[in-house]
Amino acid sequence: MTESGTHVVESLNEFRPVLLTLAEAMISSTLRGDLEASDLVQQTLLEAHCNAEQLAVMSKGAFFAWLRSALNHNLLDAVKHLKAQKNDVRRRVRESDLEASFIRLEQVLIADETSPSEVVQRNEQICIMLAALQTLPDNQRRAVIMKHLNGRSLKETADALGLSEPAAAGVLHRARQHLAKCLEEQCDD
Amino acid sequence: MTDSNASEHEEETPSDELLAELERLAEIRHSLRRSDTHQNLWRSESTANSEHQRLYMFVDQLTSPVRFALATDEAPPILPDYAELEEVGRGGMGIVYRSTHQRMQRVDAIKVIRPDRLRGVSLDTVKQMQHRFERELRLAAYVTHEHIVPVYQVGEIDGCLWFSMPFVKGTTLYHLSQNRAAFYCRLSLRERTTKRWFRGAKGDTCFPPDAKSDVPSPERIAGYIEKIARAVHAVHRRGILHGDIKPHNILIDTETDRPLLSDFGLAEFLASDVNTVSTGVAGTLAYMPPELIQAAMRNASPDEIAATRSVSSDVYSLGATLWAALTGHSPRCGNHSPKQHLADNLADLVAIKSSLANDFPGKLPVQLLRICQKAMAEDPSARHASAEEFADAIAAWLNRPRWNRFFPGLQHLLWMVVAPLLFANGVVVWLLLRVRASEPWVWLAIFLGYVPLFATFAASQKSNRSSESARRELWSIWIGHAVGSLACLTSLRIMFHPDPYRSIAAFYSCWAVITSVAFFAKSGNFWTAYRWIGGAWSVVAVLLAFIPTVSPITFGVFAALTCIITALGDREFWDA
Repeated sequence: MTESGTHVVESLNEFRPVLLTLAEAMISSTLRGDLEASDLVQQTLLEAHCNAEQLAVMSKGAFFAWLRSALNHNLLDAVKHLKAQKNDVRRRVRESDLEASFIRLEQVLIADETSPSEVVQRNEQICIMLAALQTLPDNQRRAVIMKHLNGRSLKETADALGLSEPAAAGVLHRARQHLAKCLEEQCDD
Repeated sequence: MTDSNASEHEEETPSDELLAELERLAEIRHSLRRSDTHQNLWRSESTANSEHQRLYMFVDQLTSPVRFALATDEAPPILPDYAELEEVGRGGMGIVYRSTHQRMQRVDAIKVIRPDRLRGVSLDTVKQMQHRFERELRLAAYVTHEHIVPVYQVGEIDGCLWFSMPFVKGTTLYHLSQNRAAFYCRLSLRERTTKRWFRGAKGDTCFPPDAKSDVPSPERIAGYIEKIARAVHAVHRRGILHGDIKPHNILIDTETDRPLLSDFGLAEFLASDVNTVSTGVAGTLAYMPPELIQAAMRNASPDEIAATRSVSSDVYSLGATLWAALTGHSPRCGNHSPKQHLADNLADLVAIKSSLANDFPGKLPVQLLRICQKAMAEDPSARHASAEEFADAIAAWLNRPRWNRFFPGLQHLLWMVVAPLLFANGVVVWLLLRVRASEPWVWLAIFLGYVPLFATFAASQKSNRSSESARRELWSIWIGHAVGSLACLTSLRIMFHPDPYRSIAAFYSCWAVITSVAFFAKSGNFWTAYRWIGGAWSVVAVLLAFIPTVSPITFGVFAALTCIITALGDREFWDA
């Protein structure tokens, strides 16, 4: 039991940054301020900890999938709760949209033995990248998430960060340099 | 990026203004990828530019799948001639839409290669890819075969490659095999809980005879794969390899129950697109032949891999597909880490997972698994020489001597009815001899023993045409047996003229010899264990000479035993 417990804790520590990035990317800008990505992830990890025995036997891929679906449930719950609290039209986020994007995320990230070899390899790299994003300073991380994960333009990113466009471009460039270095180091290992 | 470039970059850090300019250029470039006029935007080959471009592409390429998933306001592309596209599925490589071709009034499936797969690839590569994509698809379209999904149209829209093909209403072989595995799991669970030791009609539940049921029989699966293998061979003759044969790519048309192979010639194309993160090997690991996996492990160049790929790699994939369709598991259960997966694949190359086959709750036909094993041999030269040879092997299995297919009760009839009748026949003859009954009655009683036997064969008339030759052989052997026995009894009667009873005692010995010969003859094309039964009958022939008084009973006992052994032991012959 203790062995399985430590095994799960190790895996949790490994996936925490990946989940954090995913949560941050999934919380749209309209929800920012009302929801904290770290709270959602904390809750998810706590749930995982409670189910440590059940999770200990899972393969890494299945474990990650379990975490993702738990995170998604927590996010949906939080959104529902928020809507009940404030009936603000501007803040209305369609749960169906969240669910649809989660399903697509699963389709992208699930790789099993039937996936093309390239997809398996790519998904591992995506996870490393998502985890590496958490090592960036706050504004660099937000910039990369907005630009590359949410697909915003430079102008939108700059506006959201309260920076000028050249400043945002600089932030983005430095963030990318950092990420590239992180991934190269990881790959060397 | 070379080291020299990196050091140059450290010397001069580009200003934020320049970076913002580059950033905007990158955005424009992504939105207008296909337009040639914007190529010159990238012609200013400054260090800052190339460094920025490299990093932008690097991050963008890795994040694009997630961005693609998170984007909510994503509209399907608008294609000329087609009505509004309706998304029906999404895979690692592309999105499948359904739409009506407006001029032809025909429902097509449209596969669009996902735009995120192409992001971060230089324009020249994209151009090259488009050429190859179109060439491959034209080649595939050139081969028309009734078991290959044809390609109607190839095109490009907003930098995305797309092609259209007929919309096949049905399922995939993968789903059918999953249904099959699930069905047997439930079945074995029920059997374990109810503990029915005696299930007379187990054969009925194991192999649902309905050709369109959701749980396909091994025959149905083998039939699909045989057709697909012949289609693959037809295409091999044109020099095109599929490269990614797997149950997922085999569609089953529900209306016509026809298997169709899709995604022809695409595996190779899809491999060469994003080489930076891939091993350069196309296809699906679980269905990939070991020589390709080894090439991938060596980090071989795409050319080397293309040279390794051959007809026999498609034969391997066909074997693996057959295996997966039968068991519901892919032949190599994968680990999720690609490196580990590759290592695993190498570790148990030939060890076709026999334990997995044992775990399968239903019965798996041994001969069919042997065909899989040959097709999946580690050494390419040990495999079937062509897809056609593989198809022939399956066809031979499908047409094997087997007369229980449409008459499941026959096997039980043989050991529950025919065996006691043969024994009773022996006893009756013995009694007739004891009471010294008149000679014609004894002869009649002896030859009545053939009646239940021929009645069984007549009942098997219902079997399908493919086992026609088997049935003819069976009839000729046993009619020969009867005719020979009659001739033998007649000649013995003439030899021992005054004493009819001595001739009958001698006849039983001869009858056993004739039976022995019949079983030896049957062992060639039927169950191999028949030669042991034939040997046993030779021994019985000698034995009968020692106990002439009870020879009818002894003969009856052995005849009944033979029926029981045949009915219970000859699994492969009956329904495997």
